[in-house]
Amino acid sequence: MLSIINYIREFLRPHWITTFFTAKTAPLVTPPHFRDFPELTDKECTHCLACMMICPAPEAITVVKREEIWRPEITKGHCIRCGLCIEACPEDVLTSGRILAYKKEEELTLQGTFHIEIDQSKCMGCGNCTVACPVNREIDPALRSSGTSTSDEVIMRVDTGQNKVLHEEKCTGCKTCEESCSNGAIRVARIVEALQGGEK
Amino acid sequence: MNKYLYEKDLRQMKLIILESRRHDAVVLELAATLGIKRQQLRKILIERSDMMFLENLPARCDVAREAGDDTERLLGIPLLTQAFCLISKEDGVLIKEQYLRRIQDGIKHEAAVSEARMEMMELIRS
Amino acid sequence: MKKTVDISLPVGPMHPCFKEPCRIKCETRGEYVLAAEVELGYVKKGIERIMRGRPWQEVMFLAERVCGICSVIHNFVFIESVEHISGIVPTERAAYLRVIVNELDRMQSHLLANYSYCYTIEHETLAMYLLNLRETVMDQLELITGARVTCAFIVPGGVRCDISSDIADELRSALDHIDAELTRFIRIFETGPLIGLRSKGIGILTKDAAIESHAVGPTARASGIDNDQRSTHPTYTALGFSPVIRQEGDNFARIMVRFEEVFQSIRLIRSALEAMREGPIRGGGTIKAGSIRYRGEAPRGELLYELTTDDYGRILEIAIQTPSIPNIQVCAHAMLIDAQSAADITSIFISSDPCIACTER
Ligand code: SF4
Ligand code: SF4
Ligand code: SF4
Repeated sequence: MLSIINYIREFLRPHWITTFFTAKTAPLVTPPHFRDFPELTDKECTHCLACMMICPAPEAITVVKREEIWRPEITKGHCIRCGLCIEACPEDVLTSGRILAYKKEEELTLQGTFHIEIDQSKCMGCGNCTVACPVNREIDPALRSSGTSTSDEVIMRVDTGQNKVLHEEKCTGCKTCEESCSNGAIRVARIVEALQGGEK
Repeated sequence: MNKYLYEKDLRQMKLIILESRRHDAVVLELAATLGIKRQQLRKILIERSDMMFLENLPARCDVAREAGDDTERLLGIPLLTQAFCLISKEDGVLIKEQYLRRIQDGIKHEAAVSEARMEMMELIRS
Repeated sequence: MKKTVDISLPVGPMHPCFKEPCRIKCETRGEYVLAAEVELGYVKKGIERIMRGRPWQEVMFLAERVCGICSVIHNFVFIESVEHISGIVPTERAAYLRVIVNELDRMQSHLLANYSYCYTIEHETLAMYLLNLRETVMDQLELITGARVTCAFIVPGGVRCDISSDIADELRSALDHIDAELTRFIRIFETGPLIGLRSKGIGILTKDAAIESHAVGPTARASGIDNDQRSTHPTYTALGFSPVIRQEGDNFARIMVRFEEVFQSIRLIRSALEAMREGPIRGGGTIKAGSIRYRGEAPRGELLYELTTDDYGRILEIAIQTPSIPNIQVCAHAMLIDAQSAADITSIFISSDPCIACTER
């Protein structure tokens, strides 16, 4: 009995009756705060590779040079829309939802230090990683064609059949080397810190 | 174990469950108390239990470790009866009583434990 | 398992009442259930293996993907366990924001669980009402974090973003709306004679059986077990948390515990909004080496992360024990036994809020 009264009360509410007769599905709109795939703003990318460093999905973002300017490109099938690249980019090149706005307002940054580990028992000295590394190629253009380099300034180079790390501090943690190694011998540990405020 | 293809397929999946880290630890623990090899215990478990039960083994063991008195824990009876459900609770009590009787009769500790193990294995196999 | 009779009634792998695939094999005499087994293996992900060797910023997203319904808590427990290893303490505002997002997630999960129960006992009207109400909660989650599921809101030392006073106001009014609506729905649920027929005294879980199988969450709390990891969490104790417990242990009690926990979550969010003061939301800090066993309270119960990290903050070893594992097990081996009709099999199973995705991580 109580149940029937409850149902009658439920269906006699003015709100219920009005919505019953004027039922209409609201149009499907993407709310402005939705965290979608990152999009480019008109700011200039400086090729610092912070976005590639933070990205958790393999090969979701790559920074490429098109028509003489660097630009990050997102592979939509790989990107998981986490929005970390937007927070990490120091130049505000990327945007999505309200991430860019709150990042600026609250001065949020993600910063990391990196450590390269090469498993010498797996490394066969092919030099794939040294060629692929975008920092290496900036420093020594000769590396665009071969894995050996005469420059002492590069991050790593193949020397007497072994890959040697020379300047770990120059690494930006972009993981390109990991992805290009066919043996999984090189691993870059990215120790990232989530910070707020202008310090550091 | 019957011969349906479906049941056969499950063996692989059950083994994968038992190989994961926490499951492996509890299987090793019980295998040590029973004095058998880990592979033997895995075989028994795969034949006896369904997959959901195997998944839940570590949690059940966490509870069972706190149950029972010192003698029972020494023989691993709470694990066997309560967590793994390999022998019934009554049998567990029986084994404990027999073990205590043997100790009273002056049988050495190790011998009594190994006798209890034998009995438990027999119960599991039957 | 040893067969007692040779009639075995399979339910699943695909069943209209199940959200995810799993197979229940029931041994029945007539419609009376003698024993039941659950077989899995349709959606195994092997996510623990993928996590190994990765830093927190990758594992955090993988952890969320263990379970699509209660994703926030996986993020929460994973980040808090690495924080405990490295001695990082989140800032005060961040701690409250974590509670707010986590409780919103719990509300939507409980509403979804009760939706599927109502759907299973064929009360589709109430089911759709609850599902509609869940959308309000999902909208709030999206407003705060930018995504409905897999929010990725919690990072070591803090959270991803702050909430402005506008968002807080919107959240408060949404909570009022949910409060009012849900009170009506619960009245319908509690007084419905047919609902009572399908729920009261069905699928009883005794306290002993629950303890033996380490049942957790609402399933255990409906059987009178005081087990809620939130009562030891510092932020929750500061908000004056005390668990919801019922004694009956039947389907009805489990659903009511979830309904009451939704109200409790509303209260927690309100008091967190009150208690929150302006301040930083991120404290920084890097992950160090160590190992830990850390528990948190997911919507379905206690979630355990056991992990080891190396000097560079990468995960070396990880084992996740999700709450659905003990709950589904106790459901199959204790609750389903003695079910009087085959129709009760699904309703009992759904009332334990099974999540196959997180069982087969
Ligand atoms: S949104 Fe996330 S997944 Fe997508 S490109 Fe940026 S960092 Fe990578
Ligand atoms: S982080 Fe920003 S500036 Fe740096 S490479 Fe990426 S898009 Fe360019
Ligand atoms: S992560 Fe590898 S490819 Fe990228 S900068 Fe460092 S060494 Fe070069």
